[in-house]
Amino acid sequence: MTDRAIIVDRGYRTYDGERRGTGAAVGAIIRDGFRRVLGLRRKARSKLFPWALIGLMVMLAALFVLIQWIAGELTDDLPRYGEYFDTISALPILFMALAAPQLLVPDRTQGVLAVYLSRPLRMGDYLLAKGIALFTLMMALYLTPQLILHLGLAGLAPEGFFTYLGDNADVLWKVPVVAFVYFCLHGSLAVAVASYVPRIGFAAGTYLGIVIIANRLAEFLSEAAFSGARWFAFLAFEQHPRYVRDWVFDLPGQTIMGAAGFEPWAALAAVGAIVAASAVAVWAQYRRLP
Amino acid sequence: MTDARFVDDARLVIEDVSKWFGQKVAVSEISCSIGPGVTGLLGPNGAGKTTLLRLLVGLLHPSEGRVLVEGVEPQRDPTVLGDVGFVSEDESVYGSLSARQFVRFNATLAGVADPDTATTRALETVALTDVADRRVGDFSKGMRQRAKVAAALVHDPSVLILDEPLNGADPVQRAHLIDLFVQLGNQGRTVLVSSHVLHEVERMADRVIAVIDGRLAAVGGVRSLRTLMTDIPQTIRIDSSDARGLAAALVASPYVGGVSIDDGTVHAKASDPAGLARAIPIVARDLGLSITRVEPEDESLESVFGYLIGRR
Repeated sequence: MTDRAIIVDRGYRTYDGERRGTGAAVGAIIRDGFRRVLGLRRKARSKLFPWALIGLMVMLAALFVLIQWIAGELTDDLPRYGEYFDTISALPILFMALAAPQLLVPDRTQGVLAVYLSRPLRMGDYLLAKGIALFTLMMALYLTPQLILHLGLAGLAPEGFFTYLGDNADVLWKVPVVAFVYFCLHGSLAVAVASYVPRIGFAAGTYLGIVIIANRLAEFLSEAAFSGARWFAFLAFEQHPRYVRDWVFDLPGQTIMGAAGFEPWAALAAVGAIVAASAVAVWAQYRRLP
Repeated sequence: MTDARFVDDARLVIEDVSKWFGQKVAVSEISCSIGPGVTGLLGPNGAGKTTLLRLLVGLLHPSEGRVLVEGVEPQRDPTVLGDVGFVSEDESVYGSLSARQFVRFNATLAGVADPDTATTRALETVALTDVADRRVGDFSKGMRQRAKVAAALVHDPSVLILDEPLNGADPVQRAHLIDLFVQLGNQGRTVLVSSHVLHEVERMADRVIAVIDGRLAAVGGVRSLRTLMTDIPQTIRIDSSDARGLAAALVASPYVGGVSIDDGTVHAKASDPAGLARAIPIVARDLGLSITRVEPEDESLESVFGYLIGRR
């Protein structure tokens, strides 16, 4: 005889706890989006790319502060706020190229949309949750280095920390507004591409290809010698937020839109149109799924 | 309620539902309801079973008619799906997640307040605890099916809609899942299971809904359905001490359309089963035979379903 025992099959046991509704489901999708893009609770190689980009963006800001600390004075030769968007411009685009497909493609290709939509969720809730996850990640990516830069410069300012903050209070709205315009342009393009392309890598490459090729086309065609050629400047998608940035920060930037004689508000309107067109394209795809 | 398509305590109601995709009609004018207990949804491939189930969980909109879950149209008010668990026929799992992560994600998606406890409970229910931390992508098909069932059960729904949940499961896993579904049905949950493995549906379902070519072919208990098929003679198996003598006597009776003898057993095609039941003891007495077994041969779901398809 032995006193050892095991109950292998305990049968079905009910769950008596609370169950929440749509809000909880949306929250779960947002949190899952963060985990997926940042590679949390996944293998090290899933973390490598996103965290390398985040690290690079943060380190650059810290480096600029460090250089000025070592130099013992604040200098206008190093980028601040508006210019910083240019300095790091490629990194958020690369991050976006990774994040948007990571959020959308596996759900479609692995047939998991049915899992989401058989919950208390509409397709609109699902897409909203994905959008919030992307927005939160990208805004954090744009704003965290700017915050480090801002606080670092304030700490080094000869006029004192709080005086510097007071004198530069305008960056508190300018930086988020410009970051939002960058997010709108790149987010809408990347999400639209990721809604149709069935592979993460291919979606990332397509989005990057569109951004690069459209810019080159705009550059080439807008300067061509035929009537109406300047309208091709609108193809310079990547430069629209930059032109808005120049407008907001009053910077003397060189953009294809500017060279073609368009005002910055035209670039802002173009971003709005791209967002609207992408939203229509995404909805057209998802309304017929799963 | 007199119409056998409907039950009194319906949790799922399908009202004159049609669904077409372009020119293709997947579901045509189906009306029925489903109540607590296990109901089997049967049909050949392409019959419209999956479309019907997807309509019930709000993944598709009916082209005509409406579906109600707990009295609510899921497309209009998806909150009702908080009380529904769904296993899709597709893979519908993240292969890169572990079973625990996948089930836990479903728990958070369903708004379960304590997802860890609910996840552990659901994994235990489908006997996946030992492999809970392995990647679902490395699972066999049967194990993935169990992970999907765990994900559907994690929020303890009162309605379960399962599209071919036994696909790929080995015999032991199948038996375990069938027992689980029966247990859930006995608890008063509404369990709708589609399957093409008829004898398994027969083991778990009190009631079957047969769909053929997108149309409702039959609804009810298997035996009741067979009894209704009066135009198809029922085959009765009779074991006796003298098969030849019994066969000769039965074939002369007005209740039997034909007989055959196979390995000492008489198989009688009864045109009037009740009349044959009365005639057998009389014939046996008159011939001095002993009857050791009398049983219907084609009351199995497979036979009934075969007849239903054959009528089309």
